[in-house]
Formats: sequence, structure tokens, C-alpha cells
Amino acid sequence: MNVWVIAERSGTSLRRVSRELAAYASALGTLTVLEITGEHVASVAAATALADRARSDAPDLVLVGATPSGRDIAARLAAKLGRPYLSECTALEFDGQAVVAQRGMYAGKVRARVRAALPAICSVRPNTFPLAEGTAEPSVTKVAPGDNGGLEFVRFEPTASAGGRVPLTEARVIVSGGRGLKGPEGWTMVESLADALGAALGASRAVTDAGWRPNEEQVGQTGKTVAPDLYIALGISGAIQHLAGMTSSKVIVAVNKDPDADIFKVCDYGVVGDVFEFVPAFTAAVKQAKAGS
Amino acid sequence: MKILVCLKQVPDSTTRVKVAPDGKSVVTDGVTWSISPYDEYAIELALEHKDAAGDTVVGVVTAGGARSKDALRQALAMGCDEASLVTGDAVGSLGALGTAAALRSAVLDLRPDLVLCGKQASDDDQGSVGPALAEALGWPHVSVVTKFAAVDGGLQIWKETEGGHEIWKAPGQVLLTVQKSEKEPRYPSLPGIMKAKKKEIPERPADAPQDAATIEVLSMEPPPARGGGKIFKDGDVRAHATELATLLRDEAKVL
Amino acid sequence: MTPPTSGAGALVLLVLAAAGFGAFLYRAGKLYRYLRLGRNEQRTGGLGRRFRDEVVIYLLQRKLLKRPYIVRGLAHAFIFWGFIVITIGTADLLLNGVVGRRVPGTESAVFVWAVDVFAVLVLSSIALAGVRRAFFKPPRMHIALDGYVILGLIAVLMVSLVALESAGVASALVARGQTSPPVGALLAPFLGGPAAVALFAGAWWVHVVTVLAFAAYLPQSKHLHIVTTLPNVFFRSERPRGALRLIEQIEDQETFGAASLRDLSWKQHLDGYTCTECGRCSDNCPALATGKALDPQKIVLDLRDLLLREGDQLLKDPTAAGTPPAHQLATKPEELWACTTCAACVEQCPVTIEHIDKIVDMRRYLTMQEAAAPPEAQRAMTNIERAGNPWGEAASTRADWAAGRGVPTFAEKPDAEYLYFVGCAASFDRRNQRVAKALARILGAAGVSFAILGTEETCNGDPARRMGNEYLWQQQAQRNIETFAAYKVRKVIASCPHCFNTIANEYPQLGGRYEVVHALQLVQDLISEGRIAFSGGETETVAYHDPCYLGRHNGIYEDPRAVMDALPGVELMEIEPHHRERGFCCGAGGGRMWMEEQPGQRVNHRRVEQILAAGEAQGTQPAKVASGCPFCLIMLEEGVGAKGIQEQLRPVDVLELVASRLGGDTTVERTNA
Repeated sequence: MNVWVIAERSGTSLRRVSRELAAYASALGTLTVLEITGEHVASVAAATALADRARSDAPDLVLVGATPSGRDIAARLAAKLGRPYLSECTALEFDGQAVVAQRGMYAGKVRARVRAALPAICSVRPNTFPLAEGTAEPSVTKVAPGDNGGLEFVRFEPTASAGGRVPLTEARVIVSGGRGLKGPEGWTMVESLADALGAALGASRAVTDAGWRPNEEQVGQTGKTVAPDLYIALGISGAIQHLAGMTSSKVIVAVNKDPDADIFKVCDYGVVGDVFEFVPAFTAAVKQAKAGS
Repeated sequence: MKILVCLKQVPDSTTRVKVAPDGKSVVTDGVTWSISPYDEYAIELALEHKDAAGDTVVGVVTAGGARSKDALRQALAMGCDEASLVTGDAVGSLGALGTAAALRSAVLDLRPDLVLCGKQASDDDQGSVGPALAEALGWPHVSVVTKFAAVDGGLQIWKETEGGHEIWKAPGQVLLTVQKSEKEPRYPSLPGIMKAKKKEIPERPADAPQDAATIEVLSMEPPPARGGGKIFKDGDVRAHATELATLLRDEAKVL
Repeated sequence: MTPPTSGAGALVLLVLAAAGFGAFLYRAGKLYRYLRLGRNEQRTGGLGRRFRDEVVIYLLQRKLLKRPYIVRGLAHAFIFWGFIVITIGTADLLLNGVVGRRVPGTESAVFVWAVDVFAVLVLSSIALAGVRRAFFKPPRMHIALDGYVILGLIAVLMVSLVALESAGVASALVARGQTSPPVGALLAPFLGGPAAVALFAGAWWVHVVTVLAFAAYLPQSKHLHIVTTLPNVFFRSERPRGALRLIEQIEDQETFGAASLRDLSWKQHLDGYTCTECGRCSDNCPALATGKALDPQKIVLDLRDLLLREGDQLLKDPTAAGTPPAHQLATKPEELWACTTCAACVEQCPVTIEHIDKIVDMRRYLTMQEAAAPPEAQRAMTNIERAGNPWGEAASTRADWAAGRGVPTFAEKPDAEYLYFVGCAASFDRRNQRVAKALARILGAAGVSFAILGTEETCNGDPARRMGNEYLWQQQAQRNIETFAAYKVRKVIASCPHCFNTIANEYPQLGGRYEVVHALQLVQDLISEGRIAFSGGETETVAYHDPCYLGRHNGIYEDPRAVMDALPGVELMEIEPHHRERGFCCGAGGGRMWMEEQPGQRVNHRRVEQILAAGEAQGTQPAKVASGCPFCLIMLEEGVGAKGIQEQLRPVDVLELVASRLGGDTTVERTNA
């Protein structure tokens, strides 16, 4: 099988998801890892260049990391080539001249197996495929972007207020604190955990009411409604006003000292215990787990 | 400026999705249908532009069955000016490219300056139709947009990326897939609801060819039931922390 | 006593009287025409009750004589009763002065005595009121020159009355065989000779001219309430207090809510004329007390001022709408959104002003006409529309709490006697699910035949209606009414006072008439019929928190207390002084449950402080605070959590106290009770 991986770069090295895909695809057949050169390339320009190349190279399968930019390029490329596109796959297998993927639907509420005839394009979620430690970075073929349809990059505006954190409503991971953290000082610990996870910060209404955290961080009925992949509730009892804003999260972790707290009725993983003991230990464990994955 | 918002009617986000007995579709009986959330943001973004610049005309279009008219009426009630339904027997089975082709003819008829789509529909979660429609139209597109503004010589566009926004400028017709609006999508006024009820919604035939790029759903699995969570209680905090981190990485795959 | 109005005197008096009453009538006519700008509204049903109101509220001053206001209430009552007696006397003076005839009965000894007794009482009350205004200003009272002018005029009237009587007695002007005014007789010995004659004439004229000045001044003043209270009490709403006004044929309306002064009813404008600016409404308002923008008295006065300001212009141009009341300079939308519809203002208003209706009419305009409800309120309304509950929980999980508890649905048990309308809070909020389970156990134990609607139940619509979304309320109500009809429901139990209120008091507006009871009413009946047996229970002091929609809105104060009294081990504590009709809201009514609460202190936090303070004053801190409302329960839970006292003061529902003391079955779901 002729497989392409469209790689993305972060700093000087390839993104981890690109390397995962390359490692996986190298076992499938002929592998070409392609990278679009330049910064701030319009997805249409990337897709145009890749489509030109695909018409001669005829890959059977194109894999892209399911990042916002990867998904964007993949969707446009599929349209250019008139090929099926499967987004955010979490497992792949092959069935004759078709790819069968596992992917979430209905905002993650359904896990589906879907089938598309090859050649096809798939964007794949990070951590889907293992990456053995010490795997060498694959060799990369650079591709210059094509026509961008007149789009012009003007400038980059960094998000000023959130301290470099992702906005709450779009975060894939959220660490949220409640009254159980006892006071604003509790957030030093919460922030370390959020940093380790690359998470956004949330808070219960009690906390924003008390002025421990700014109002924008409030999750719940009167605050923001969120649905991240991972929601970690620290010292939050789980009043309906809070639950209404976060029960659509895919995985919920709750830490609370009261074993009867309602939050444990909705969580996937619960820790009954002292947040002040658990959170630092968990932060260390997360760092380790991420490094070792 | 004329803006056309493409929307999709999906089961409302409050609905508990159930897998149908065939194991490859969801139960549609008793489901509340509404506009896909990102499409609602797209409508809100368009209406915010209309609020600021009075000469803006906002149209909405969807490809779907008769039931989809309710979603169009919802958009009209929110303040959109016109709506049209692209429909036909085949419309339910269209893939992304087929849907894009069906919408393309509506766009060509309605001649908007700007097309907005949600960044993805909340049923299939694909995010294909926006870029595919742009391709069918031969327009550039910008995705994950949170804001746009008319400027001299075109449209300024805010695209959300890690750590901030890329600001792009499009000189002419462009398609944007919307991530979010500044404000929550508006609740319609009652005069808006009443006007929307009476409004004529023209139908256009979905003259799209079957595309070769369809995706077949083989099976669907319901989400794991909530509440049967694994609880760590008593014992070594450090060990719990390590085990939880490992589970999140390897079992839940969310790290 | 013969009036000093011989010859030209009578003519002068006639001219002065014409001027005084003319000025009164001119202004009153104008006010009447302004008032008629308002929407038409039938307010004449139930005449019996209306006349009874006049006696109780108007003549007997019942609403003035409320607990915290007893002294000033009595002072007012004396002035009022004095005013009535002396007005008859004044009419007699004028009649006698102009045409030389007497008003029948004014020559009787009883009347002559009554005039003097009240003159003294009025004078003392005036002195009290003056001193209070000048030196002990009540915090919410609106003090203005107007008040002093009126007090001054009344004082002049009383002094001149006493002076003319004394001088009259001294000048031997009292006809033979007639009773001398007692105070006049007392003071007469200090007067004598020609000076007395002159004083009599002078005092007589001062008195009469002051009366006429008073009449001319009255319609410019808040003291117009002297006149308008009479019709304002008479025309008070015959709707149950808990019921908001139905907008009929809502789909055919052009505008919604109070888009203009013309959209408020004439009675709402009469409310504005009648406001005495006493500040009792504001005094009892939980929003104002906790630092919110709302001041109910200001809402009433802002509307009155807008009418006085724009009335002429609206009369001139029948097509003009004027400024939308919710957007006049004085009233800001955040004031309107701060209202919990707790009815503390309505309860306390001595002249039966209907504050909530005005606030909701303006909310209706903001919500339905302008789509300008606060974003969180909009979200709650969207949730009601799409999920049938304001929290946006999945509709299909509504009856999950009942699974495996032998609670049948009407579909399964079509011959059930009662429908238990569970409500959204007890269906979806895990804390309140325990209350629903407790009620199910109690009903089971007492052998009550009941069923629920399961997933066919949908939000009763109360939050939407009180957020100003009448349209959504009507849709929700109609859906429920249709479902009730399909199952031929006749009797309804609600454990939520908001469900109870809306189904009992508002569904009839749409043709849904049922026998509706709140769960605690039913439980009280079951206890008194001996159908519930208790087997012991913890000994504990439990404070009772009156839910607004049970207490003030529906007058249910005794049943919950009777239930608690019947419970073994429960020592009922009153949250004095904020209990019964002065109960303090939990902060969640009027749709506030789903809205941000800023600025100021949260209402529920204040409520918890009041409970603790009552405990302190009574020397026993309650172990629990019981209520009969899921919203109160959520708010009290939040309040004790915020104060970090959840171990000392546990919020519960009275139903949980009952269930935990039931005999027999011990497979009790863990409750906080």
C-alpha cells in the first residue's frame, strides 16, 4: 500500500502525532512523509499542492494528525481528490480495498465503526498509535504550498488574558476547582496540574461568587457549558447548577473528600480523599505518564 | 453584504442519543431536533454583523428532508432574512461531497458574498462539508473562525489557533467555518418567531450526483453508562495518582 | 356653633370652596385621563370580596397593622380614622357656612366627642410622624417636602379646629341643649370676651381655608392615596396572588409585554397614584436587602413619574407609544431581572399595589419583544424548549430516579387516583431526587394510589413565565394539560411549590382545572387521618423555612408546621422575625435560579445568616433547616456550603423528615434527613 503521512512541525521537530502516524504507517507499505513548507499557510494552499502531487503519486491512504490544521487540510484535500475522508479516527484496520475506522460521533456520545473505500484520507487522534521510545524521526519530503486563492495572512494575535491557556469552551482538558480548595491559594496547585495537562482552568459558581477566581472561569448553568475530552473536578460537590455545564464531558475525574458527594455519581474516575494531598501527587504522575507514553 | 449560512439539523445536544436496534444508526423517535451548535454560532456571527451593518442580508440554507424546515424557521426567528431548503429523495443519503454539490447550486443561485458553515456538525462530527463546499465553489476557505469584519478591500478574518488568533484577509468571496461567536446564539424574539412561522421557504431540488466518497457506518456502540465510575478510596495517594494517570492515558486515551 | 359667614362671608366662602375643589377636580380629571391611557382590564368580579376588602383593608387598616410596623401603623390608623370623622365635621362646617344647614348626625354628642378625641389622637400621631421623619428617618422611606407640607396642613387643621371650638365655647356659641366639644370646653375657661369672638372667626376661617388648600394640593401629592386607596383596594386583582396575567391570543399580538404605558392596565397606573412612598415594599425586598439594583417602590414610582411626564403627549397623539417603561431613564433592566417574585412587597403593601405584575410585564417586553433577557436566562429558556427542563438535562432521563422503586407511570396504572407531578428539580437534581423518593415512600406507606407521567412530564413553564416568556409558558402548560387530559388526570400532587402554584393557579387560565395539593398538605391530611404511622426518630431542633410560593403566594403556612409538629423528636423552630408572611426568599424564584446573582450578597447566604441569628436569639441552634421546596433546598444547600457549616446545619425537605420516621421498611435511600 502506498501511504502518505502529512506531517506537522512544532518548533524544530515533528509533532508527536505525526511521528506516531509515521511509525504506524511504515508497517503498512510504502511510506512518504510530506511536510508543507512555510508558516501560516492557508489550508487551501496546502491542499492544492498536495492534490497536485497525489494525482501523480496516487497514494492509497493519506494519514493526517487530527489537529485543527490537519483536519482542515485533510477535508479540503479529500474534496479536491473526490475521495472519502474520515476525521478523528481512534483505530484503523483494512478490509480488502477499504479502510475501517473507529471514530466518535454525536459529540463523542456514540462510538462508530465506519468504512470507506480506498483511496481515502483519515485524520487520526493523537495517542492512537504507540511510539516506541527512541524511534528516529522519519525523513520528510518538503512540499511548497500551492495557490492560496487570494487569502493573505495579516498577523498573529496572541491571546492576552488567559496566560497562554486555551479558552475554556474549546479546551480538550479542563481542570476545575470548587469550594473544597478552601481559598484562592489553592489554585497554585491547580495551575501546576493544568500546566502539566495543557488544560484550561474552570471553577464552580461558589468559587467565582467568592471572588477566588474570575467570572469567566465559571462552569455551569450560569457560567459556561463545556464538553472537553477530560474534565477534572477538584473539591466540587456536584450541585445541579455545576453538573448542567459539564456532564457532556467525555471523561470526568472527580476528587472530593466526601464519599457521598453527587459528583461521584457522574464521574468515570473518582478519588475519595484530600485534594491537597492528591493533586500534587497526581501532577507528578501526569508528567511521568506523558513523558513515558 | 449578503451572507449565506449553511446549517444542518441534528438531534439537540440535550438529547440522550440511543443506538437503534439495527446497531448502525441512532433512534430518531422522540428526539428533539435543532440546529447544530456550531451552525448556530455561525448564524449568530452573521446576525452580529447584520446588527452592526444594517444593509447586511443573511440567508440560511440546508440540505435535508421536510423536517429540516423547522431548523430553517428557527434561524429565521433568530433574525435571518431568508431561507431555502435543498431537498429531494436522495438528500438523506448524500455524503460530504454530494451535500457540497447540492449546496453549491443554492449558493450559485443566491449569490452571497460570504458563506458561513459551522466547523462541524454535531451528529457525524466530520467537519467535511465546509471545505468541500468551498472546493466545489472554487473559493478559498478559512476554518475555526471566531470573528470577521469588513475592511477596505475585503474581509478580515480571525482564525483561532493555539495560543491566539491568526488574522487573515480575503479579497473576495470566501467560505468560513465557524468555531464560536462572541456572544451565545440569541434566543429569538416573539415577533421573530411569528414572522418566521409565516415566511415562505422555497425548496430547491437536490440535483447532486451520488458521490464516490460516501462513508458507510458498520456499527455504533452506545457510550459507556455514566455512574459506574472507578472509585479510588483509602490507600496510598501516590499509588492512586499513578494508576489514575496511567488509566487516563491508556484506557481513556485523554492524556 | 353659628359660622361667622353672614352676608359677604358666605359668598367669599363659596368662591374659595369653588377654587379649592375646582383645582382638585381639574388635576384629578387630568390624572383620570392619564390613567385611562392604560389597557382595559375587567376588575369588577367578586363584588362581595371587594366590599369586604374595603372594610378590612381600607376602613380597618388591616395591612398597615403588620408585625414590624405596629406603632407607626396605629399612628396612621388614628390619622386615617380621625380624617374620616373630621372630614364629616368639615363638610358640616362648609355646609353650615354656605347654606346654613347641618349634616345629619353631626349634632349628636357621640359625634362631637368623637371629633375631639380624634383631633387629639391625630395631633399626637402627627407629632410622632414629624419627629420620626426629622430625627429617626426610616431607612427606606422617601422623605420629601411633600410629607411635611401634608403633616403641617393636618396640624393646622387640628389646631384651628381646637381653637375654634374653644373660642366658640368661650363665646357661648354652643346652642342650648347641644353637647359642648369636650376639648373646647376644657380650654374655654382660658379664653374670654371679644378676643374669643375674634379667635372663633379667625380659627374658623383658617380651618376652612386650610381644608380647601388641602383639597387643591392633594392631587399634586403622594397623599392622593387618601382618595385613591379606596378604588385601589376595591379593584385589586381577583387572580390568585400566585397567578400572573394571561396574554390571550398571544400569537395575534403586535407587541408583547409593557412596550408602552398603554400596555399597562389602568389599574397599574392607579397603583402609581396610590403609592404612599412608605417604603415597606422595599423594606422587605430580598433583592434590595442584599445589594441588588431592584427597589420595588422605585419601580412603582418610576412608572407613575413616566406617566405624569409623558401623559399629555400620549393623550395628544393616540398613535404615539412613548418610552418603553423598561427603558425609561429611571428604570434599568437589571432592576427588573433582580426580582425573585417572592411577593414580600405585595404582602406588605398597605394599599394593595401589585408590584410583581408590573415587573413581569416589563420583563415580558424585554424577553419576548426585544429578546434581551440575560444570556443565562436565554439558555434556561432554550433548555426548557428543547429538553423540557431549565437545566438542559436529557428529557429521556426524567424518570430515572424512579427506576426500581415501584413507582408506576400513568401509562402503567391508568386508574391511579393522584398524579404525582415530580417537577424538573426532583427529576434531575440528585439532591432533590431524594425528596421525590421520600414522597414516593410516604405515599406507598399510606396506601395512596398515585402514578407519575414519567418521560411524558415536561417543565410546568413557571420559570419561563416569570422570566417574561409567556409564550413558552403557554406552550409548556398546553403540553402538560394535553397529557393530563389523555390520562384523565383529576387530582395532582406536587412536591414543588412552583409546580403546585402554576398548575393550581395558572393552568385554569388555559382550561386545565384540577384538584391540586402540595405534598405537605396531603401528608398533613394523611397524618390526621391516621394513615401514616411513625416509629421514633432522632430528637432534633429543626427550623422551618417558608417557601414563598407556599406561604405568601398560596397562604400555606400551617400544614408544613403541623406535619413537623406531628413528627416524633422534631422540635420546630421559627426563624424569627423572618418567618410566615415575613419569610425571606431563598433567592431562586422568578427564574433567578438560572441567572447570575450580582452585585451584592447572595440572597441564600443572607437567609442562612438569618437562620443562625434566629438560633442565637432563641438560644438553640437548629440542627436542620427544613423547607417544602426544591429550589429552597438547592439554595440552602449552597448557602450552608458557602458558609462551611454543612455539618452544623443540614438543609432538608420536610418530606425527608417524614420518610425517615416511617415505621417498617428500613431500606431507606440514604438521605440527608
